[in-house]
Amino acid sequence: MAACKYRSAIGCGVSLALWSAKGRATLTAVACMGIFLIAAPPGVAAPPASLGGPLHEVIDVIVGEQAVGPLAERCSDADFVRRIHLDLVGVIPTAATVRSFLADSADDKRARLIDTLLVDQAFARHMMFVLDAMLLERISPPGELAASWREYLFTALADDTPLDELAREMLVSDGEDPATRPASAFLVARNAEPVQLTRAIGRLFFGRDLQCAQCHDHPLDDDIRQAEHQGLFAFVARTSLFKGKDNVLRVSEKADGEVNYESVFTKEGEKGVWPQLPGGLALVDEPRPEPAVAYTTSPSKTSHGVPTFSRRAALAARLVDDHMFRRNLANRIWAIFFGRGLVHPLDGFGAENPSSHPRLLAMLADAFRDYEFRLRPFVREIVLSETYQRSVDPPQPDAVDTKALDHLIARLEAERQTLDSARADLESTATDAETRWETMATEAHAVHLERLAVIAGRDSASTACAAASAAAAKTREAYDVAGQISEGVSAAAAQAARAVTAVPGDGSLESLATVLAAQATKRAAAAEVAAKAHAEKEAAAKAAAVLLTSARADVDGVTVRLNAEALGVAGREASATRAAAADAAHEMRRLEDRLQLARDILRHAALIGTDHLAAENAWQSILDRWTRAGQVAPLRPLSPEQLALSVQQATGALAARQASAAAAIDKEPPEQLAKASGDERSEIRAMKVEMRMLKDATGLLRSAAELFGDALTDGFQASVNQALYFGNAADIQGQLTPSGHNLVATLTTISDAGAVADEAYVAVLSRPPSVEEQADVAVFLEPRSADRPQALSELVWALVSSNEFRFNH
Amino acid sequence: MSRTTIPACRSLEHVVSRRSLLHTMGGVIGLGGLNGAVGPGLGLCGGLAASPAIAEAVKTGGKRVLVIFLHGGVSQLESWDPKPGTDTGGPFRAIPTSVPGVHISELLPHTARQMHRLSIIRSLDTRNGDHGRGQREMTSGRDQPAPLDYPHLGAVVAKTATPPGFSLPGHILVRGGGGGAGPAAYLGPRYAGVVMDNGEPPAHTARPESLTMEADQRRSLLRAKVNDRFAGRRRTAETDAYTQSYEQALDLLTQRHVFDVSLESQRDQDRYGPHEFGRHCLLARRLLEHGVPFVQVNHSNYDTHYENFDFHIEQLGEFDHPFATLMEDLTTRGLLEDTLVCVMSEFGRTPRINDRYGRDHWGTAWSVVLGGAGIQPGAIIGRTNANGTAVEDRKVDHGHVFHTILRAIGVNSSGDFDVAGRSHPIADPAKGPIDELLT
Repeated sequence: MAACKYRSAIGCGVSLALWSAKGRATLTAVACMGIFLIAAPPGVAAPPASLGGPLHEVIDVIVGEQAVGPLAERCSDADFVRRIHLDLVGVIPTAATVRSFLADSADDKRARLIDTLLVDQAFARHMMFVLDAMLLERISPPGELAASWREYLFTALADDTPLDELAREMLVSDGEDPATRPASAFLVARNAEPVQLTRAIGRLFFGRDLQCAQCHDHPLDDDIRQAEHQGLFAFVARTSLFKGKDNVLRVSEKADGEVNYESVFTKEGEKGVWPQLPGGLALVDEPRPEPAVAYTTSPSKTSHGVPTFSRRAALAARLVDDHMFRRNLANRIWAIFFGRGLVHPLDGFGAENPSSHPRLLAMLADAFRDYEFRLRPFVREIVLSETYQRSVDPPQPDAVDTKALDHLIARLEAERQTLDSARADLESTATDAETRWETMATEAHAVHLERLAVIAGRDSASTACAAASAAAAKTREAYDVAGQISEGVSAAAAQAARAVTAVPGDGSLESLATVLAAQATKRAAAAEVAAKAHAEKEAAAKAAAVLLTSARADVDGVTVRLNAEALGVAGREASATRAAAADAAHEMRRLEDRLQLARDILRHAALIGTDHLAAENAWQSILDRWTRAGQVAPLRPLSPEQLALSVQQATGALAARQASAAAAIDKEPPEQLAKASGDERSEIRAMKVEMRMLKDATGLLRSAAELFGDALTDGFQASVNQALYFGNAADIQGQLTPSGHNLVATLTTISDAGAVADEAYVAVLSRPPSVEEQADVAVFLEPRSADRPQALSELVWALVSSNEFRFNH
Repeated sequence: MSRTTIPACRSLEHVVSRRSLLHTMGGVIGLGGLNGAVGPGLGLCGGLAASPAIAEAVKTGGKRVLVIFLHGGVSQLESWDPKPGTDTGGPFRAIPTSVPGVHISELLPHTARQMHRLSIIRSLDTRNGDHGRGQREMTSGRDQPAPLDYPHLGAVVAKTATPPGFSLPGHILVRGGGGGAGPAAYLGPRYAGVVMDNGEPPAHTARPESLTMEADQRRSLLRAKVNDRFAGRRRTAETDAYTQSYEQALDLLTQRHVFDVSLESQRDQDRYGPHEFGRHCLLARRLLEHGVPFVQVNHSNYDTHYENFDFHIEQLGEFDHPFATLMEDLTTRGLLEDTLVCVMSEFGRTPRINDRYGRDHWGTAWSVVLGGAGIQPGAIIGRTNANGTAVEDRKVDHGHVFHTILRAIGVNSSGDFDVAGRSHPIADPAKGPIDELLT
């Protein structure tokens, strides 16, 4: 419906070669002959042709098609400039930025601002906060890892490193190589404890909270099975934390260890669980190196284990092709900009929890993959969409077109049948594919157990073979020595015999010859014995080698019977058809939701005249659903970091912090900066200043995180502690005391109340005050000529502690 | 008075000053005086002016929980489960208590007279000897090797037992020695522990000097106006909650006296004693009387890897009298029937006495004490063997204790919290309460 009305603002896709090889964005949009062009970054595959246009348009089309009732207007420039700053750089804009944006009359100013902010250092800083809270969930890694982890994220984001690459490093890094050690924070912060890791990886990488399936199948949700938990668990079950003599925490992994389980309820279970992605592929024909070559570094008291085949590395390698991984990432990124995921809660993917827009999520997931999992181009599309730029001001009840709703209801009723039969078809296809896979998998698993047995046989054959060859080598040595002695003695005996012949009658020579001859016989016999002994060991070693060869052949034979490739094909088929069937089922649920919403809107229209209170409640519920459907923008509470930095920005404290960080860096440039030159130098300097400012603000940010939020709480909470902090904390009071060029100091220099209001509102609320608000300020200040600085500080406090400031709107 | 600093072990938990023995024991009873100290005449609590009005008001506010957390790991053998005369028993005797047949260590003579109001669980096996983990597991009731997932008991109680419109914090942690913050995990910052370090009022509960009450009200009116205008654009449950939090803060400032233990009568302050733990117990009484649903008081320096016996004389000497006084007061003031009291640690201590006369960390067979609301008084749950090296009967752990505490204050611990559309079991679903302890 209404979504297409904004299309005209957006031009056709012309590529602009402004993306560097590293994927770092420079300017990606230009004004060209008055037509604004929005380009896909080159070097990055364009979104699938099936999308039929740039991703941001596709978002708007799908959201528009699914809308029930009116869409909110495009948000005002003032709302936009605040919202986009908070979302891309994590802090409200300065007063100067607000003024220049509002004064700009160009059509493309929003897109230009987006592109400016995307290349700002502060984008990396903000996304570092977002990813840190998302991935570590406010657990601080031990020791210096805390700081290096953040710097690692910051650098990766500044370089627009693909997120799948980050994810792989986080899973694989064992902390040994200093270059990737920071990435080990993901495992180390969780003590590299397999149950914790399974939960974290399930939730954060696949959107599935499998915790309650740890000991049994979920009692209420058929979709959450113990086997799924165990399959993921098997990838990390061999992992543990290792603390070396240097006190550096490393992640150790063993080369063996099977996962076996049984349900605490049914006592059913499985032995030798295959490592398996949630709803995805199993690692069926896992390489099983023989004991002698199982480790690059064997685990010991002094060293962490590094197996030649790592299950964690196998997990990492499988992420990129996994559709759950893609969808989860796309959903989590979407949630950054809309306050909730298309699937919500973010770790609630599953049959029982439909996405609000199944088709959109599937498209976003594929598009993100096509952007090589780089954040900037993907985020850019999201914030370019009209859906993102919609106003928080809801449409008014009189904007509802009841006739159109009647039509919509009729259409949805008609669609229901078609959708449902499509769903049923997909469901039976999926069931068939799953049955095929399960049959094959059941057979294969029996073979797998057989394989484990023959591998155990091969491993003992391998050990025996090694022992037998060692024994043969030993007898060979003895045999060689005995042979040499025998030869030596026998040569001496022969010479002695010749001497006797040469000097007949010499008794001493004769007796020597006799002794030597006896010795020669004895030594020859000993050599004979050694030869025999060696021949036996040699034969044993050969036999052991033959046994090993045959054991290896057994393993290969059984491995072939696993039919891993065919099983993989069937598995992919099952998982793809299941995803399609689930999407179709979710579309059905969505259709029913939309029908319900349409009816509720009509009911509300009827209630307005008759029951005011009931109408009011009904309207709130409609508004909530419109917000979830992307028809109205949500109010989103600022994150702890957004809030702390924005308060500082508003009062002018942030500028002072930045100046002092810059002065500190310039006074004593870090080595990397001192060596750099040219363009690179200014970039490095900006980053160093940013890191320095963050370091100086560590305490502030940590207490903000404690006070205002917890990553695990995905609801908003207002606590009395927060209000007490705003009310009484020395930190806030300090910012409200006139000092240097801070806001209150600036306000004391302005005498006109209207101008005071203007300065204060633009600085704090990122918008000019209305006439009424100017009057409010005038009334407030009028009797306070005696204590004007105090009055101005009260004014700024009232704005900073207001709802309008607390929320992103 | 001599003050020397001797940490019981090298961990940070226990760097506190060690008071002289005489001072701790009030200079009245030396070691000899500990023997058979139970009997009439010590006059713990004569002539208490109980306040029925307060008790009545609090009753309508629902149930409360008081946790006394003995940091470092109190020795069960020197407290709740003495084994005198065995190879592991150490030098102290067991004394009779107000419950016939129940004996506890002679280091707790005053507490012994309160045992008819308390019950001992002597069969904890928590399978852990790590301080941090013990603290997390005992206070969250979950197996929790890493600091992440589950809310502290205080957060759970605050969420379930805070009466509507109650503007004081629902979860207060009075910290002497020993850390801990009372994380709320998925329950959110609203239920996180509010810390009273050394019994000082919580952070930001005093207006800065530069801000008069009038100025505060003036600026709040202006804020309300700004909020009203924004509500004309969009108003949600969240904006309402944010607005209310400021009203609650103003309200709380008017009740700041609740945090000030010096407002208690001089007589009561004398009864509880001048040292930190005594003051904190009196503060706990004050907070509970004002309806705070959860109070935890920490008492530290039980990590006695050496000189276990000297340290326990000292620490339990400090603990015994104020704790007994508090139990007496909770009873006479009518609070105990709605207040669950629990004395716990992160674990107990090894039966084996090491070569430094110390006992080490031990989670295999140790004790916790419960009493008050909904708890069967005077009971002993479970049993350890003759020299305390194993649990012989009714093995339980942190999960069971957690369930029991919640059941005792009327919370269905098998239920779930619904947080932002997700369901979280309130307590470990694999465990349940100790039914025979519940009335």
